[in-house]
Amino acid sequence: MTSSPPDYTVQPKTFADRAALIAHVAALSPRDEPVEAGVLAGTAAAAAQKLAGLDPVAYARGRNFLDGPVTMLSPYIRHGIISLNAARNIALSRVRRADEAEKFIQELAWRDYWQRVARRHPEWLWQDIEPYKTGFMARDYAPDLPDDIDAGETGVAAIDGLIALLKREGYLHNHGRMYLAAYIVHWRRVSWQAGARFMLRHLVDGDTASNNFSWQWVASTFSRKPYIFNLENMRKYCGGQINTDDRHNMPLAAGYDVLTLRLFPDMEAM
Amino acid sequence: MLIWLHDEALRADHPVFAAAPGARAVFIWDDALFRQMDYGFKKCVFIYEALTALPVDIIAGPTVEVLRGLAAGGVIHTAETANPHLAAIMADLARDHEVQKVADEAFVRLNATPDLKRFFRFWNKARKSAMQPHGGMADLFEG
Repeated sequence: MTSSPPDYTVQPKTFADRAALIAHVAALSPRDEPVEAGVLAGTAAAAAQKLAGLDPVAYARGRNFLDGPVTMLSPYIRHGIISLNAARNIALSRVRRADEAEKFIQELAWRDYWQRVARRHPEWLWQDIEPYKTGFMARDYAPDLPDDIDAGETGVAAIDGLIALLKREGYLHNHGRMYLAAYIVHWRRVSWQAGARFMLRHLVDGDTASNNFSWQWVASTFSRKPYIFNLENMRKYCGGQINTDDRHNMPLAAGYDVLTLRLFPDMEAM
Repeated sequence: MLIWLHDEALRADHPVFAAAPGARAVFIWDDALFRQMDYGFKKCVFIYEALTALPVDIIAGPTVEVLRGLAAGGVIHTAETANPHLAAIMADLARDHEVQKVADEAFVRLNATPDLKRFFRFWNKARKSAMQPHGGMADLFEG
């Protein structure tokens, strides 16, 4: 190669304040969305603060609750700011017996697992790994995300609440992601690919492998059965920040047997 | 010699830096690529914030073109990735450059190629290593 280096300007790394940095990013990467940062800063100080708060025992006990002691380390791990190894080592240093940190370490292992699957089978990232086990064929699922979901105006209050949270914070608790994914794929019969792309667009920790394989797990194209939930389950785990009133969430307000029959009427025939 | 830092390796002690001591490190702010990868605005802010603390020059432009110009046939060191977009760029660059892909610190040590059909098959093999500091590989880190 004999070409000389192109004279590309080096972008600034110091700014008067965070607003100036955000404005600079908006000039480089304009998007049709609010010019705002997410709930988590990308700084090393913010990462250190999250690590300092890591309590594997509390995590194991309360991680399924939307207002529970989740670590919010995922954006830092996704971007290599914190390695899986470092997160595991710190977790082990905070417990008396290693097994007290197992639940947290197992979650780290999920990330390692998804990365390995993506390396071995990159074509699986956007293709159905297996057929749906819902009684429906892939062609029965809408290829595009309906506008009301994109806008967070489905009329199902709990779902709209989760979408608003996702958009505002650039983050959503894992349980919230599962509810939202199940609603989009199973209640609305939209392809997991359309839903996965929607979530990737809004998540600061968005990673194609972790995100898409988790969607496939919910959809049942990478699991033995579809994942569903009901309003009672949401009420238990969502706390006060999501409206789980029956009157505003009718499609979700039923027992699992009823919902299974309603959502998957042909599943028995498989 | 050049370090191409991408957005999965945003820390100063990532092994990619140690693999090429003294080399110029660059991050290519390639918004066309970010859009292909469905990066929203909040993610872009997060990445930029992380970059401000790193020994790296941020250069805006098309990734392959900028890297070809800067590397000028020399070795390009970069972090290993499972992201097919980044992997495709590495493959493109490898046509006329030596591209060294540097793995991050390992999380677990496995004795055999793992069965990845379902997570718990993997976990059953990985658990023993995962539950130890440095995955039971501390000897590797002391060297």
